[in-house]
Amino acid sequence: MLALDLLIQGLVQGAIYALVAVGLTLVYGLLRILHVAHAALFTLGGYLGVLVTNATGSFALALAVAMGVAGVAGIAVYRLAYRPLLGRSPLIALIASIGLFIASEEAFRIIFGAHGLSYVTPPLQAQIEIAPGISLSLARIAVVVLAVVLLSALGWLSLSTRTGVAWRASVSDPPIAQAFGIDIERVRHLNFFVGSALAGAAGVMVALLNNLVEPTMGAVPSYKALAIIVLGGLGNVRGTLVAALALGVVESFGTIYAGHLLDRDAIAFAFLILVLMLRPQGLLARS
Amino acid sequence: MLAVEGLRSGYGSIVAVDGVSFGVGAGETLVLVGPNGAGKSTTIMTLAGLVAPLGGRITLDGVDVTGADARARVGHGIALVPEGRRVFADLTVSENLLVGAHRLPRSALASGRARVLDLFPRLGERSRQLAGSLSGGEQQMLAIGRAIMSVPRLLLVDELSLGLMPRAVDDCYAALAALQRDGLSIVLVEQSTERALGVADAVVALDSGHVTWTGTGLEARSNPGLLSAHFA
Ligand SMILES: Nc1ncnc2c1ncn2[C@@H]1O[C@H](COP(=O)(O)OP(=O)(O)O)[C@@H](O)[C@H]1O
Ligand SMILES: [Mg+2]
Repeated sequence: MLALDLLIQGLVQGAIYALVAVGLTLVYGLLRILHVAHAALFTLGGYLGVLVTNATGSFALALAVAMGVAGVAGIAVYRLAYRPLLGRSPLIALIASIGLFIASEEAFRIIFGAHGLSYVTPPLQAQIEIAPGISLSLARIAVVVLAVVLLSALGWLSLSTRTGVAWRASVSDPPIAQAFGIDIERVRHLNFFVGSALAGAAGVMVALLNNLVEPTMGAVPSYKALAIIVLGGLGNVRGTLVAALALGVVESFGTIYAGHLLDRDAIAFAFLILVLMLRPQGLLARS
Repeated sequence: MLAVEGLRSGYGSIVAVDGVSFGVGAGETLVLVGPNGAGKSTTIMTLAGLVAPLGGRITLDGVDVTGADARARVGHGIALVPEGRRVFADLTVSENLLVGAHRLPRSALASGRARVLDLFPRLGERSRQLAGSLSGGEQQMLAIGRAIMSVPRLLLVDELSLGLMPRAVDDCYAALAALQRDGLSIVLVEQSTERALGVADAVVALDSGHVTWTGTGLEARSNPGLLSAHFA
């Protein structure tokens, strides 16, 4: 039973990693930029989740606002930070991205205080027995349901709509996509909106699980998501999802069975290093 | 139909094409020949709007499109079959064709697909396969089909037969002949000139970014020494 419990906890954590990392891999696929500032949108989502829930009492509204605002903020990051640097070395964009991420942490600290915020009345706290002896909070169930719904919607968008096909064509060969009339600038906006909205949703869910948002809450997801997209094979969405879930589960088991040797984040990185030594091309390498 | 006057084009400080002029009549096929590095691809990419011209004029039925970007060019009826085929490898055959028709309404898709599958029945059998898994010949068919999906007036083809098996070259030239019969205007770049001269109404030879010879297809075919003189 412990194993099942750990598996479930791992999948919950993996679902959160997946929501964050997908946006990162989408940006990498389209622009070849390591979008470190992505985690700032995760934090923004977390703050908005708490603030809007506390102000209105509606968690659903808070989730929608957080996703929408994070999405628009993601577009702003692209327009203000990345677009002016597009013709340059990707290292320049990376440095801009790191700078933006650090600045965002300070901005959250200045605006909302260093000690963070909590839900006045945390929603979705009821415990539900999902199997004999294993109960899970509604919040954890909501994380998994939300991740499945959002990622399925993304899958539908990218596989079953003309917009999605144009999006993937732009990732595959931007100039040729343009030569067939695809507006690559619109694709980039969509890409940042969708990826950032997913990160915003993840921020809301993490704020719910921890009942806390703080200026530095994006730091750990930021470097883990970077590692996950490498593990997934940079730019590969399916690989990223697999890597996110695998990392969540490994961490979950690792903290129990190796927790006396390494802490949770160290286990995560030991796993990443091990996998990359065995499969440097990522978990799901293309042929 | 297409008029190119004094075209100058290149990359940053590199001028790869300088003072190139030629015209293509409606329904005509112009073949651009020349050694490696002559500026053939640069000319084609500039016509497609993917390399910005540094000077000169490009007009299409009298409309100046010199300053139009690649997206606008496809709206003017120009479609590209690029060097190296450049199909979208992670997309299926069917999705590649859909991208070809990107600027057309959904209602135009069925007739476009029917036209492409009529030219290349093999693409129908492969429609759900990833383009990256196709053979070189099939990828070239897909690249042509993708271009046809945009319902062009002018088709730009860069290296139709390069790297293909003889059988696939035959298929691609057969398709080209069918498109000529449909009245499409074509600019064809080829290094293996003999085959290309067979379908040419007009021939332009390029070397080091300059036009070194211009003539009709008939002149080029009846005077092979003329062309070979232009290849070092
Ligand atoms: N992307 C590029 N950047 C810089 N120079 C290029 C580029 N593409 C081609 N060139 C140069 O432009 C010249 C013409 O090349 P190209 O048009 O590809 O010739 P062709 O297609 O006739 O072989 C060559 O000297 C080539 O090195
Ligand atoms: Mg070439």
